[in-house]
Amino acid sequence: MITKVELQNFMSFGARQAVSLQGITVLVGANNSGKSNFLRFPSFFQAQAKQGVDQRMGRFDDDFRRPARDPSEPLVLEWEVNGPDGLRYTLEVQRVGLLGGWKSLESCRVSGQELYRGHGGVIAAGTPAPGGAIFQGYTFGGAQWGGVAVDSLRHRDGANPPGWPARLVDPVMSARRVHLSLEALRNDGVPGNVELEESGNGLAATVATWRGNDPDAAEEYDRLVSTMIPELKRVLVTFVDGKARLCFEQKDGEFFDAHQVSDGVVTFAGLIAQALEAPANGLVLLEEPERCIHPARLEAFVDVLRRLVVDRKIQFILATHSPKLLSLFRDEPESIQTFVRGKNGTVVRCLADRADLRETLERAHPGDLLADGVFNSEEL
Amino acid sequence: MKVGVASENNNYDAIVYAHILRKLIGVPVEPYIPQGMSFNGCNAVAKLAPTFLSRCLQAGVRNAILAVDNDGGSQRRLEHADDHALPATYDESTECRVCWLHGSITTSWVVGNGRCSLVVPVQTLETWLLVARGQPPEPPVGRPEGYFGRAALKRRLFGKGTLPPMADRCAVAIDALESPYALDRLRERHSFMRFEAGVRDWIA
Repeated sequence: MITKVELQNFMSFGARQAVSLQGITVLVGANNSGKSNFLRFPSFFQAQAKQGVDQRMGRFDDDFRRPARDPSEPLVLEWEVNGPDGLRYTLEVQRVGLLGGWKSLESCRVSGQELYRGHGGVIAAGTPAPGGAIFQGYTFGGAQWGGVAVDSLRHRDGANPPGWPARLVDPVMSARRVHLSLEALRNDGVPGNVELEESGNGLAATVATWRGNDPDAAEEYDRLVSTMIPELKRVLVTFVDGKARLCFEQKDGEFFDAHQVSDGVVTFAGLIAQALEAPANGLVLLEEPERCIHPARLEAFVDVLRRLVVDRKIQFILATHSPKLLSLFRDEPESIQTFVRGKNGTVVRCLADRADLRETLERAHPGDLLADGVFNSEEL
Repeated sequence: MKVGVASENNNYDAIVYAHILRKLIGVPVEPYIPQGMSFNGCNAVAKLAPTFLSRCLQAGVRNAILAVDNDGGSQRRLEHADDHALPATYDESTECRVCWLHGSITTSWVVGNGRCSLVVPVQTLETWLLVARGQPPEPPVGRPEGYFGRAALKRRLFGKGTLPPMADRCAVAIDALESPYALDRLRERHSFMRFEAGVRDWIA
Protein backbone atom coordinates (compact mmCIF):
# COMPACT_ATOMS: atom_id res chain seq x y z
CA MET A 1 0.00 0.00 0.00
CA ILE A 2 1.21 3.49 -0.79
CA THR A 3 1.41 5.44 2.44
CA LYS A 4 2.54 8.80 1.16
CA VAL A 5 2.86 10.72 -2.11
CA GLU A 6 4.85 13.90 -2.50
CA LEU A 7 4.53 16.26 -5.45
CA GLN A 8 6.33 19.42 -6.41
CA ASN A 9 5.92 21.55 -9.52
CA PHE A 10 3.57 18.97 -10.94
CA MET A 11 0.60 20.47 -12.78
CA SER A 12 -1.16 22.67 -10.18
CA PHE A 13 1.28 21.65 -7.45
CA GLY A 14 4.04 24.14 -6.77
CA ALA A 15 5.71 24.00 -3.38
CA ARG A 16 6.25 20.42 -2.30
CA GLN A 17 3.18 18.77 -0.78
CA ALA A 18 3.02 15.49 1.09
CA VAL A 19 -0.24 13.57 0.95
CA SER A 20 -0.63 10.62 3.30
CA LEU A 21 -2.81 7.80 2.04
CA GLN A 22 -4.95 5.20 3.78
CA GLY A 23 -6.81 2.16 2.49
CA ILE A 24 -9.45 4.62 1.32
CA THR A 25 -8.48 8.28 1.03
CA VAL A 26 -10.98 11.01 0.23
CA LEU A 27 -9.92 14.22 -1.48
CA VAL A 28 -12.09 17.29 -1.05
CA GLY A 29 -11.74 20.85 -2.22
CA ALA A 30 -13.25 23.39 -4.54
CA ASN A 31 -13.16 23.04 -8.31
CA ASN A 32 -9.66 23.69 -9.65
CA SER A 33 -8.02 23.03 -6.31
CA GLY A 34 -5.85 20.22 -7.70
CA LYS A 35 -7.66 17.01 -6.76
CA SER A 36 -7.79 15.69 -10.31
CA ASN A 37 -4.19 16.70 -10.90
CA PHE A 38 -3.21 14.64 -7.90
CA LEU A 39 -5.04 11.65 -9.34
CA ARG A 40 -2.83 11.92 -12.43
CA PHE A 41 0.43 11.13 -10.71
CA PRO A 42 0.24 7.42 -11.58
CA SER A 43 -0.47 8.07 -15.26
CA PHE A 44 2.48 10.47 -15.38
CA PHE A 45 4.74 7.79 -13.95
CA GLN A 46 3.32 5.14 -16.25
CA ALA A 47 3.87 7.33 -19.32
CA GLN A 48 7.43 8.21 -18.50
CA ALA A 49 8.19 4.59 -17.59
CA LYS A 50 6.82 3.35 -20.90
CA GLN A 51 8.12 6.11 -23.15
CA GLY A 52 11.19 7.28 -21.30
CA VAL A 53 11.16 10.62 -19.63
CA ASP A 54 12.92 12.44 -22.47
CA GLN A 55 10.32 11.42 -24.99
CA ARG A 56 7.49 12.02 -22.59
CA MET A 57 8.62 15.48 -21.63
CA GLY A 58 10.20 16.38 -24.95
CA ARG A 59 6.93 16.82 -26.74
CA PHE A 60 5.15 18.86 -24.17
CA ASP A 61 5.74 20.10 -20.70
CA ASP A 62 2.15 20.22 -19.56
CA ASP A 63 3.03 18.24 -16.50
CA PHE A 64 5.23 21.02 -15.23
CA ARG A 65 3.64 23.61 -13.04
CA ARG A 66 2.86 26.69 -15.05
CA PRO A 67 3.96 29.31 -14.44
CA ALA A 68 7.05 27.78 -12.87
CA ARG A 69 7.96 29.27 -9.55
CA ASP A 70 11.61 28.86 -10.39
CA PRO A 71 12.68 27.31 -13.71
CA SER A 72 15.63 25.65 -12.06
CA GLU A 73 13.43 23.74 -9.67
CA PRO A 74 12.62 20.19 -10.67
CA LEU A 75 9.30 18.47 -10.95
CA VAL A 76 9.29 15.90 -8.17
CA LEU A 77 7.19 12.80 -7.79
CA GLU A 78 7.88 10.64 -4.78
CA TRP A 79 6.01 7.92 -3.02
CA GLU A 80 6.52 5.56 -0.14
CA VAL A 81 4.99 2.17 0.50
CA ASN A 82 4.15 0.51 3.79
CA GLY A 83 6.53 -1.85 5.45
CA PRO A 84 9.22 -1.66 8.05
CA ASP A 85 11.84 -0.53 5.57
CA GLY A 86 10.24 2.72 4.38
CA LEU A 87 10.72 1.81 0.72
CA ARG A 88 10.55 4.97 -1.33
CA TYR A 89 10.79 5.95 -5.01
CA THR A 90 11.68 9.42 -6.23
CA LEU A 91 11.60 10.88 -9.73
CA GLU A 92 12.97 14.33 -10.42
CA VAL A 93 12.65 15.93 -13.83
CA GLN A 94 14.46 19.14 -14.63
CA ARG A 95 14.63 21.44 -17.61
CA VAL A 96 18.01 21.63 -19.30
CA GLY A 97 18.82 24.81 -21.22
CA LEU A 98 16.49 27.35 -22.72
CA LEU A 99 15.62 25.37 -25.82
CA GLY A 100 14.08 22.47 -23.99
CA GLY A 101 15.36 19.09 -23.13
CA TRP A 102 15.02 17.25 -19.91
CA LYS A 103 17.14 15.62 -17.33
CA SER A 104 15.73 13.03 -15.03
CA LEU A 105 16.96 11.56 -11.84
CA GLU A 106 15.43 8.50 -10.29
CA SER A 107 16.26 7.04 -6.97
CA CYS A 108 15.05 4.39 -4.64
CA ARG A 109 15.64 4.36 -0.93
CA VAL A 110 15.18 1.78 1.74
CA SER A 111 15.27 2.71 5.40
CA GLY A 112 16.62 6.09 4.37
CA GLN A 113 19.58 4.55 2.55
CA GLU A 114 19.90 5.06 -1.16
CA LEU A 115 19.41 1.79 -2.94
CA TYR A 116 19.71 3.06 -6.46
CA ARG A 117 20.23 6.29 -8.32
CA GLY A 118 20.04 6.76 -12.07
CA HIS A 119 20.68 9.80 -14.20
CA GLY A 120 18.51 8.93 -17.12
CA GLY A 121 21.25 6.91 -18.69
CA VAL A 122 21.58 3.20 -19.11
CA ILE A 123 22.65 1.62 -15.88
CA ALA A 124 24.20 -1.79 -15.96
CA ALA A 125 22.23 -4.56 -14.37
CA GLY A 126 22.78 -4.93 -10.69
CA THR A 127 24.72 -1.71 -10.46
CA PRO A 128 24.54 -0.42 -6.94
CA ALA A 129 24.07 3.21 -6.14
CA PRO A 130 27.29 5.17 -6.22
CA GLY A 131 28.80 4.55 -2.87
CA GLY A 132 25.86 2.38 -1.96
CA ALA A 133 25.17 -1.28 -2.07
CA ILE A 134 22.58 -3.75 -3.10
CA PHE A 135 20.51 -3.63 0.04
CA GLN A 136 18.61 -6.17 2.06
CA GLY A 137 18.63 -8.76 -0.65
CA TYR A 138 17.09 -6.59 -3.34
CA THR A 139 18.85 -6.89 -6.65
CA PHE A 140 18.27 -5.45 -10.06
CA GLY A 141 19.63 -8.47 -11.85
CA GLY A 142 18.53 -8.97 -15.40
CA ALA A 143 17.18 -5.51 -15.87
CA GLN A 144 18.11 -1.90 -15.83
CA TRP A 145 16.56 0.98 -14.07
CA GLY A 146 16.70 4.59 -14.98
CA GLY A 147 16.08 6.53 -18.16
CA VAL A 148 15.76 4.18 -21.10
CA ALA A 149 16.05 1.21 -18.83
CA VAL A 150 12.67 1.77 -17.21
CA ASP A 151 11.11 0.30 -20.33
CA SER A 152 11.76 -3.02 -18.71
CA LEU A 153 9.22 -2.21 -16.03
CA ARG A 154 6.33 -2.59 -18.39
CA HIS A 155 3.64 -4.73 -16.94
CA ARG A 156 2.01 -6.01 -20.07
CA ASP A 157 4.58 -8.77 -20.54
CA GLY A 158 5.24 -9.28 -16.87
CA ALA A 159 8.74 -7.96 -17.33
CA ASN A 160 9.34 -6.88 -13.80
CA PRO A 161 13.01 -7.26 -13.04
CA PRO A 162 13.57 -10.36 -10.94
CA GLY A 163 14.00 -9.41 -7.36
CA TRP A 164 12.67 -5.94 -7.92
CA PRO A 165 10.61 -4.92 -4.95
CA ALA A 166 7.34 -5.09 -6.80
CA ARG A 167 5.44 -3.62 -3.91
CA LEU A 168 7.09 -0.30 -4.66
CA VAL A 169 6.34 -0.02 -8.35
CA ASP A 170 3.36 -2.29 -9.01
CA PRO A 171 0.66 -0.24 -7.27
CA VAL A 172 1.49 2.85 -9.28
CA MET A 173 2.32 1.08 -12.52
CA SER A 174 -1.00 -0.78 -12.48
CA ALA A 175 -3.08 2.05 -11.02
CA ARG A 176 -6.48 2.62 -12.59
CA ARG A 177 -7.85 6.13 -12.84
CA VAL A 178 -11.62 6.06 -13.22
CA HIS A 179 -13.60 8.91 -14.66
CA LEU A 180 -16.79 7.35 -15.94
CA SER A 181 -18.82 8.55 -18.88
CA LEU A 182 -22.41 7.35 -19.17
CA GLU A 183 -22.15 7.15 -22.93
CA ALA A 184 -19.00 5.05 -22.76
CA LEU A 185 -20.49 2.77 -20.10
CA ARG A 186 -23.41 1.96 -22.40
CA ASN A 187 -21.26 1.22 -25.42
CA ASP A 188 -21.59 -2.20 -26.98
CA GLY A 189 -18.34 -4.11 -27.29
CA VAL A 190 -16.66 -7.17 -28.71
CA PRO A 191 -15.53 -9.68 -26.10
CA GLY A 192 -11.95 -10.79 -26.17
CA ASN A 193 -8.76 -8.99 -25.51
CA VAL A 194 -10.48 -5.83 -24.37
CA GLU A 195 -9.38 -3.21 -21.92
CA LEU A 196 -11.82 -1.53 -19.56
CA GLU A 197 -11.00 2.13 -20.08
CA GLU A 198 -11.16 4.86 -17.46
CA SER A 199 -14.37 6.17 -19.05
CA GLY A 200 -16.01 2.76 -18.68
CA ASN A 201 -15.73 2.02 -22.39
CA GLY A 202 -15.34 -1.74 -22.75
CA LEU A 203 -17.65 -2.59 -19.84
CA ALA A 204 -20.01 -4.76 -21.87
CA ALA A 205 -17.10 -6.62 -23.45
CA THR A 206 -15.47 -7.08 -20.05
CA VAL A 207 -18.65 -8.53 -18.54
CA ALA A 208 -19.05 -10.80 -21.56
CA THR A 209 -15.50 -12.03 -21.10
CA TRP A 210 -16.13 -12.75 -17.41
CA ARG A 211 -19.33 -14.56 -18.26
CA GLY A 212 -17.53 -16.68 -20.83
CA ASN A 213 -14.16 -17.31 -19.27
CA ASP A 214 -14.16 -16.37 -15.62
CA PRO A 215 -17.29 -17.48 -13.76
CA ASP A 216 -15.74 -16.62 -10.39
CA ALA A 217 -15.27 -13.01 -11.47
CA ALA A 218 -18.81 -12.93 -12.85
CA GLU A 219 -20.20 -14.29 -9.60
CA GLU A 220 -18.23 -11.80 -7.51
CA TYR A 221 -19.39 -8.99 -9.79
CA ASP A 222 -23.05 -9.98 -9.39
CA ARG A 223 -22.66 -10.24 -5.65
CA LEU A 224 -21.15 -6.79 -5.28
CA VAL A 225 -23.53 -5.07 -7.68
CA SER A 226 -26.55 -6.60 -5.97
CA THR A 227 -25.13 -5.53 -2.59
CA MET A 228 -25.45 -1.95 -3.76
CA ILE A 229 -28.63 -2.41 -5.77
CA PRO A 230 -30.65 -5.04 -3.93
CA GLU A 231 -33.29 -5.34 -6.63
CA LEU A 232 -30.69 -6.57 -9.12
CA LYS A 233 -29.81 -10.23 -9.47
CA ARG A 234 -27.22 -10.41 -12.24
CA VAL A 235 -25.42 -8.38 -14.87
CA LEU A 236 -25.48 -10.19 -18.18
CA VAL A 237 -24.90 -9.39 -21.83
CA THR A 238 -27.06 -9.79 -24.89
CA PHE A 239 -25.68 -9.70 -28.39
CA VAL A 240 -26.82 -7.07 -30.84
CA ASP A 241 -25.30 -7.13 -34.33
CA GLY A 242 -22.49 -9.30 -33.02
CA LYS A 243 -21.62 -6.98 -30.18
CA ALA A 244 -22.16 -7.47 -26.48
CA ARG A 245 -24.62 -5.16 -24.75
CA LEU A 246 -25.05 -4.94 -21.00
CA CYS A 247 -28.24 -6.47 -19.69
CA PHE A 248 -29.49 -6.34 -16.11
CA GLU A 249 -31.62 -9.09 -14.62
CA GLN A 250 -33.78 -8.03 -11.69
CA LYS A 251 -34.81 -10.31 -8.88
CA ASP A 252 -38.40 -10.06 -10.08
CA GLY A 253 -37.33 -11.71 -13.34
CA GLU A 254 -37.45 -8.62 -15.53
CA PHE A 255 -34.57 -7.71 -17.85
CA PHE A 256 -33.40 -4.29 -18.93
CA ASP A 257 -30.55 -3.45 -21.24
CA ALA A 258 -27.95 -0.74 -20.79
CA HIS A 259 -30.10 1.85 -22.54
CA GLN A 260 -33.16 1.10 -20.43
CA VAL A 261 -31.75 1.12 -16.91
CA SER A 262 -31.04 4.24 -14.92
CA ASP A 263 -27.78 6.14 -15.04
CA GLY A 264 -27.17 5.14 -11.45
CA VAL A 265 -27.36 1.43 -12.20
CA VAL A 266 -24.93 1.75 -15.09
CA THR A 267 -22.62 3.84 -12.92
CA PHE A 268 -22.63 1.26 -10.14
CA ALA A 269 -21.92 -1.46 -12.67
CA GLY A 270 -19.00 0.55 -14.03
CA LEU A 271 -17.52 1.39 -10.65
CA ILE A 272 -17.57 -2.19 -9.43
CA ALA A 273 -16.12 -3.51 -12.67
CA GLN A 274 -13.27 -1.03 -12.41
CA ALA A 275 -12.53 -2.13 -8.86
CA LEU A 276 -12.60 -5.80 -9.81
CA GLU A 277 -10.26 -5.21 -12.73
CA ALA A 278 -7.66 -3.82 -10.35
CA PRO A 279 -5.09 -6.39 -9.27
CA ALA A 280 -4.73 -7.33 -5.62
CA ASN A 281 -2.70 -4.64 -3.85
CA GLY A 282 -3.60 -2.31 -6.71
CA LEU A 283 -4.54 1.34 -6.62
CA VAL A 284 -7.84 2.70 -7.95
CA LEU A 285 -8.43 6.43 -8.31
CA LEU A 286 -12.07 7.46 -8.57
CA GLU A 287 -13.20 10.85 -9.84
CA GLU A 288 -16.50 11.89 -8.30
CA PRO A 289 -17.92 8.39 -7.88
CA GLU A 290 -21.09 9.90 -6.41
CA ARG A 291 -22.33 11.07 -9.78
CA CYS A 292 -25.75 9.60 -10.58
CA ILE A 293 -25.85 7.69 -7.30
CA HIS A 294 -28.65 8.26 -4.81
CA PRO A 295 -27.13 9.64 -1.59
CA ALA A 296 -28.65 6.88 0.51
CA ARG A 297 -26.84 4.29 -1.58
CA LEU A 298 -23.41 5.83 -1.19
CA GLU A 299 -23.04 4.02 2.11
CA ALA A 300 -23.43 0.66 0.41
CA PHE A 301 -20.94 1.75 -2.23
CA VAL A 302 -18.34 2.74 0.37
CA ASP A 303 -18.97 -0.51 2.19
CA VAL A 304 -18.10 -2.42 -0.98
CA LEU A 305 -14.86 -0.45 -1.22
CA ARG A 306 -14.08 -1.30 2.41
CA ARG A 307 -14.68 -4.96 1.64
CA LEU A 308 -12.23 -4.80 -1.28
CA VAL A 309 -9.65 -3.10 0.94
CA VAL A 310 -9.91 -5.94 3.44
CA ASP A 311 -10.21 -8.89 1.07
CA ARG A 312 -8.03 -7.84 -1.87
CA LYS A 313 -5.86 -5.13 -0.36
CA ILE A 314 -6.97 -2.72 -3.04
CA GLN A 315 -6.32 0.91 -2.21
CA PHE A 316 -8.75 3.64 -3.25
CA ILE A 317 -8.42 7.38 -3.65
CA LEU A 318 -11.72 9.21 -4.13
CA ALA A 319 -12.08 12.81 -5.27
CA THR A 320 -15.52 14.00 -4.28
CA HIS A 321 -17.87 16.94 -3.96
CA SER A 322 -20.45 14.91 -2.04
CA PRO A 323 -21.14 15.92 1.57
CA LYS A 324 -22.89 12.62 2.14
CA LEU A 325 -19.96 10.57 0.90
CA LEU A 326 -17.51 12.63 2.90
CA SER A 327 -19.49 12.22 6.09
CA LEU A 328 -19.19 8.46 5.77
CA PHE A 329 -15.57 9.04 6.76
CA ARG A 330 -16.29 11.23 9.75
CA ASP A 331 -14.60 8.75 12.06
CA GLU A 332 -11.50 8.59 9.88
CA PRO A 333 -10.23 12.18 9.69
CA GLU A 334 -6.81 10.81 8.77
CA SER A 335 -8.43 9.56 5.55
CA ILE A 336 -9.64 13.00 4.44
CA GLN A 337 -7.32 15.33 2.56
CA THR A 338 -8.38 18.91 1.97
CA PHE A 339 -7.18 20.64 -1.21
CA VAL A 340 -6.89 24.39 -1.66
CA ARG A 341 -5.38 26.35 -4.55
CA GLY A 342 -2.96 28.76 -2.89
CA LYS A 343 -0.59 31.35 -4.30
CA ASN A 344 2.16 28.77 -4.72
CA GLY A 345 -0.07 26.08 -6.09
CA THR A 346 -2.14 23.35 -4.53
CA VAL A 347 -1.91 23.05 -0.77
CA VAL A 348 -2.98 19.78 0.83
CA ARG A 349 -3.74 19.23 4.49
CA CYS A 350 -5.01 16.17 6.25
CA LEU A 351 -8.24 16.83 8.13
CA ALA A 352 -6.79 15.10 11.18
CA ASP A 353 -4.11 17.81 11.26
CA ARG A 354 -6.52 20.74 10.87
CA ALA A 355 -6.40 22.09 14.41
CA ASP A 356 -8.41 25.09 13.18
CA LEU A 357 -11.38 22.80 12.51
CA ARG A 358 -11.19 20.48 15.51
CA GLU A 359 -13.79 22.33 17.54
CA THR A 360 -16.09 22.71 14.55
CA LEU A 361 -15.87 19.01 13.75
CA GLU A 362 -17.17 18.20 17.21
CA ARG A 363 -20.41 19.90 16.26
CA ALA A 364 -20.71 19.13 12.58
CA HIS A 365 -19.93 16.37 10.13
CA PRO A 366 -17.15 16.89 7.57
CA GLY A 367 -19.87 16.80 4.93
CA ASP A 368 -21.57 19.80 6.54
CA LEU A 369 -18.29 21.68 6.38
CA LEU A 370 -17.85 20.74 2.74
CA ALA A 371 -21.34 21.93 1.89
CA ASP A 372 -20.70 25.20 3.69
CA GLY A 373 -17.45 25.82 1.81
CA VAL A 374 -15.28 25.65 4.92
CA PHE A 375 -12.63 23.62 3.11
CA ASN A 376 -12.26 26.25 0.39
CA SER A 377 -10.37 28.62 2.62
CA GLU A 378 -6.81 29.49 1.67
CA GLU A 379 -5.99 30.17 5.28
CA LEU A 380 -4.50 26.83 6.12
CA MET B 1 -39.97 -9.00 18.32
CA LYS B 2 -39.68 -6.10 15.93
CA VAL B 3 -38.12 -2.92 17.26
CA GLY B 4 -37.85 0.28 15.31
CA VAL B 5 -34.30 1.57 15.35
CA ALA B 6 -33.40 5.11 14.39
CA SER B 7 -29.63 5.17 14.43
CA GLU B 8 -26.81 6.56 12.41
CA ASN B 9 -26.09 3.38 10.57
CA ASN B 10 -28.75 0.89 9.58
CA ASN B 11 -26.25 -1.85 8.80
CA TYR B 12 -24.22 -1.59 11.96
CA ASP B 13 -25.70 0.35 14.89
CA ALA B 14 -29.19 -1.05 14.31
CA ILE B 15 -27.92 -4.62 14.22
CA VAL B 16 -25.81 -4.16 17.32
CA TYR B 17 -28.70 -2.56 19.22
CA ALA B 18 -30.92 -5.45 18.21
CA HIS B 19 -28.34 -7.84 19.58
CA ILE B 20 -28.11 -5.96 22.86
CA LEU B 21 -31.91 -5.98 23.14
CA ARG B 22 -31.99 -9.71 22.49
CA LYS B 23 -29.56 -10.24 25.34
CA LEU B 24 -31.65 -8.12 27.67
CA ILE B 25 -35.09 -9.39 26.72
CA GLY B 26 -34.18 -12.96 25.93
CA VAL B 27 -36.10 -13.16 22.65
CA PRO B 28 -34.86 -12.60 19.10
CA VAL B 29 -35.14 -8.96 18.09
CA GLU B 30 -35.47 -7.85 14.50
CA PRO B 31 -34.53 -4.23 13.88
CA TYR B 32 -37.18 -2.41 11.89
CA ILE B 33 -36.04 0.52 9.78
CA PRO B 34 -38.72 2.14 7.64
CA GLN B 35 -37.78 1.73 4.00
CA GLY B 36 -35.69 4.52 2.60
CA MET B 37 -34.97 6.16 5.94
CA SER B 38 -31.44 6.81 7.06
CA PHE B 39 -30.25 9.10 9.78
CA ASN B 40 -27.14 11.13 9.25
CA GLY B 41 -26.39 12.28 12.76
CA CYS B 42 -28.32 13.59 15.71
CA ASN B 43 -30.00 16.43 13.86
CA ALA B 44 -31.45 13.98 11.36
CA VAL B 45 -32.71 11.67 14.09
CA ALA B 46 -34.37 14.57 15.90
CA LYS B 47 -35.86 15.98 12.72
CA LEU B 48 -37.13 12.64 11.43
CA ALA B 49 -38.26 11.17 14.75
CA PRO B 50 -41.99 11.94 14.28
CA THR B 51 -41.99 10.46 10.77
CA PHE B 52 -39.96 7.48 11.90
CA LEU B 53 -42.31 6.71 14.79
CA SER B 54 -45.34 7.20 12.61
CA ARG B 55 -44.03 4.70 10.07
CA CYS B 56 -43.20 2.24 12.83
CA LEU B 57 -46.80 2.41 13.95
CA GLN B 58 -48.08 1.87 10.42
CA ALA B 59 -45.94 -1.27 10.26
CA GLY B 60 -47.33 -2.52 13.57
CA VAL B 61 -44.10 -1.88 15.43
CA ARG B 62 -44.80 -0.63 18.91
CA ASN B 63 -41.34 -0.41 20.40
CA ALA B 64 -38.64 1.84 19.11
CA ILE B 65 -35.29 3.22 20.10
CA LEU B 66 -33.67 6.46 19.05
CA ALA B 67 -29.92 6.26 19.17
CA VAL B 68 -27.36 8.97 18.62
CA ASP B 69 -23.97 9.53 20.09
CA ASN B 70 -24.49 11.83 23.00
CA ASP B 71 -21.08 13.38 22.82
CA GLY B 72 -20.42 13.50 19.08
CA GLY B 73 -16.76 13.12 19.79
CA SER B 74 -16.78 16.16 21.99
CA GLN B 75 -15.09 16.42 25.34
CA ARG B 76 -17.66 18.89 26.54
CA ARG B 77 -21.00 17.18 26.70
CA LEU B 78 -22.21 15.66 29.92
CA GLU B 79 -23.40 12.13 30.34
CA HIS B 80 -27.15 11.96 30.55
CA ALA B 81 -28.62 11.94 34.05
CA ASP B 82 -32.20 11.34 35.14
CA ASP B 83 -32.51 14.76 36.72
CA HIS B 84 -31.71 16.64 33.51
CA ALA B 85 -34.40 19.01 32.41
CA LEU B 86 -36.04 18.22 29.08
CA PRO B 87 -35.42 21.14 26.75
CA ALA B 88 -37.93 21.96 24.07
CA THR B 89 -35.24 22.91 21.61
CA TYR B 90 -31.64 22.00 21.30
CA ASP B 91 -29.31 24.24 23.16
CA GLU B 92 -25.58 23.67 23.15
CA SER B 93 -25.48 24.79 26.77
CA THR B 94 -27.63 21.86 27.90
CA GLU B 95 -24.93 19.59 26.53
CA CYS B 96 -27.14 16.55 26.60
CA ARG B 97 -28.49 15.23 23.34
CA VAL B 98 -30.46 12.54 25.13
CA CYS B 99 -32.60 15.19 26.78
CA TRP B 100 -32.93 17.02 23.52
CA LEU B 101 -34.03 13.91 21.66
CA HIS B 102 -36.62 13.15 24.32
CA GLY B 103 -38.17 16.44 23.34
CA SER B 104 -38.56 15.30 19.75
CA ILE B 105 -40.57 12.18 20.54
CA THR B 106 -44.23 12.30 19.73
CA THR B 107 -46.21 12.48 22.96
CA SER B 108 -48.18 9.32 22.31
CA TRP B 109 -44.93 7.37 22.14
CA VAL B 110 -43.77 8.62 25.48
CA VAL B 111 -46.73 7.99 27.69
CA GLY B 112 -48.12 4.71 26.52
CA ASN B 113 -50.99 3.58 24.34
CA GLY B 114 -49.21 0.27 24.19
CA ARG B 115 -46.22 1.76 22.53
CA CYS B 116 -42.98 3.07 23.82
CA SER B 117 -39.85 4.66 22.49
CA LEU B 118 -36.56 4.97 24.23
CA VAL B 119 -33.63 7.26 23.71
CA VAL B 120 -30.35 5.43 24.12
CA PRO B 121 -28.27 7.28 26.69
CA VAL B 122 -24.88 5.98 25.57
CA GLN B 123 -22.08 8.42 24.86
CA THR B 124 -20.97 6.35 21.88
CA LEU B 125 -21.91 2.78 21.08
CA GLU B 126 -18.26 1.78 20.96
CA THR B 127 -17.96 2.75 24.62
CA TRP B 128 -20.35 -0.04 25.54
CA LEU B 129 -18.67 -2.50 23.22
CA LEU B 130 -15.25 -1.82 24.68
CA VAL B 131 -16.69 -2.19 28.15
CA ALA B 132 -18.31 -5.49 27.15
CA ARG B 133 -14.98 -6.69 25.84
CA GLY B 134 -13.27 -5.75 29.06
CA GLN B 135 -11.39 -2.82 27.60
CA PRO B 136 -13.22 0.22 28.92
CA PRO B 137 -11.80 3.60 28.02
CA GLU B 138 -9.84 4.88 30.96
CA PRO B 139 -12.12 7.18 32.93
CA PRO B 140 -10.73 10.68 32.81
CA VAL B 141 -11.10 12.61 36.00
CA GLY B 142 -14.30 14.58 36.09
CA ARG B 143 -15.37 13.44 32.64
CA PRO B 144 -18.07 11.07 31.49
CA GLU B 145 -17.46 7.98 29.48
CA GLY B 146 -16.92 8.67 25.84
CA TYR B 147 -14.26 11.23 26.64
CA PHE B 148 -12.02 10.02 23.86
CA GLY B 149 -14.28 10.82 20.97
CA ARG B 150 -15.69 8.68 18.19
CA ALA B 151 -12.68 8.22 15.99
CA ALA B 152 -10.39 7.11 18.81
CA LEU B 153 -13.00 4.74 20.21
CA LYS B 154 -13.57 3.14 16.83
CA ARG B 155 -9.85 2.71 16.28
CA ARG B 156 -9.56 1.07 19.67
CA LEU B 157 -12.36 -1.34 18.87
CA PHE B 158 -11.68 -2.09 15.21
CA GLY B 159 -7.97 -1.41 14.93
CA LYS B 160 -5.99 1.19 13.06
CA GLY B 161 -6.35 2.14 9.43
CA THR B 162 -9.42 2.17 7.22
CA LEU B 163 -12.53 1.00 9.04
CA PRO B 164 -13.64 -2.48 8.04
CA PRO B 165 -16.92 -3.07 6.19
CA MET B 166 -20.13 -3.11 8.19
CA ALA B 167 -20.45 -6.88 8.31
CA ASP B 168 -17.00 -7.17 9.84
CA ARG B 169 -17.77 -4.41 12.32
CA CYS B 170 -20.96 -6.20 13.35
CA ALA B 171 -18.96 -9.39 13.87
CA VAL B 172 -16.50 -7.58 16.13
CA ALA B 173 -19.35 -5.97 18.07
CA ILE B 174 -21.31 -9.18 18.51
CA ASP B 175 -18.15 -10.99 19.54
CA ALA B 176 -17.65 -8.36 22.24
CA LEU B 177 -21.25 -8.70 23.42
CA GLU B 178 -20.93 -12.47 23.57
CA SER B 179 -17.89 -12.39 25.80
CA PRO B 180 -18.59 -14.21 29.09
CA TYR B 181 -19.00 -11.24 31.38
CA ALA B 182 -20.30 -8.72 28.88
CA LEU B 183 -23.59 -7.91 30.61
CA ASP B 184 -22.00 -7.85 34.05
CA ARG B 185 -19.43 -5.37 32.85
CA LEU B 186 -22.02 -3.25 31.08
CA ARG B 187 -24.22 -3.10 34.16
CA GLU B 188 -21.47 -1.24 35.92
CA ARG B 189 -22.13 1.71 33.60
CA HIS B 190 -24.84 4.19 34.51
CA SER B 191 -25.81 4.70 30.88
CA PHE B 192 -26.36 1.00 30.31
CA MET B 193 -28.36 0.63 33.50
CA ARG B 194 -30.63 3.46 32.38
CA PHE B 195 -31.07 1.78 29.02
CA GLU B 196 -31.83 -1.58 30.60
CA ALA B 197 -34.35 0.00 32.95
CA GLY B 198 -36.12 1.51 29.96
CA VAL B 199 -36.21 -1.83 28.18
CA ARG B 200 -37.59 -3.51 31.31
CA ASP B 201 -40.42 -0.99 31.20
CA TRP B 202 -41.28 -2.30 27.75
CA ILE B 203 -41.69 -5.80 29.03
CA ALA B 204 -43.65 -4.68 32.07
